[in-house]
Amino acid sequence: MNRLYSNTVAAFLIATAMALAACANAPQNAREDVVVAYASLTVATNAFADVHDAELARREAVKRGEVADGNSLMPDSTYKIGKQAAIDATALLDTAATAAANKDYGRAEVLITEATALINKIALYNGGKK
Amino acid sequence: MNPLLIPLISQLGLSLANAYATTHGAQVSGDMAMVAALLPTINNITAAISATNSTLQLAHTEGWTADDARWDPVIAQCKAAQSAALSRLT
Repeated sequence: MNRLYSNTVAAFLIATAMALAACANAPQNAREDVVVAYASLTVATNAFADVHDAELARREAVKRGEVADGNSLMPDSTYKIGKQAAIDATALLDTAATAAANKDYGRAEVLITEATALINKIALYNGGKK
Repeated sequence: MNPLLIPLISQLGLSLANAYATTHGAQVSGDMAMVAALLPTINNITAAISATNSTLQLAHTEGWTADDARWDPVIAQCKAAQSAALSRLT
């Protein structure tokens, strides 16, 4: 377990350092902001799906009597809300991408900001046992 | 630096932190199967941050402006990746 834990911590630190390195990239434009927002949303959506998959696997293991029924990683109500947030954020970013391609950069930035609020919501749901 | 980048990059870190917290919580509870199931999440997030960072560095190095057509395939790729992620939410 110690080695697994160390690997996990190492992965966390490496990725954090990479995220900080990304912060050093400047300046920005609306097309670039669209790319970053999509990357953020896709990360959040995949993490959300991963946690949900793990929750389904946990429930199956409980049914088989392999593990005791403990805390849920993701209640069904949370999954429903998070899934809708992912759908809505995707629609917002798709519209933002079109606006940016049409050089309506101000509208694109507003839509990205709205999508970011939803992305943050999904990320919080990914917390599980925070 | 565009201030918009700060919350977005922070959000990437937040997703990572949440995945880490979830995995760590499973470790504390001794559920190693759960840990094994969630470790790929951290690897995927690490890869996503790396890929995004590489793209941004290339764009900055080459000086892509907002109306640069080279953003088009990048954004198309982003849309495809998000579509694939959404399809996992059945």
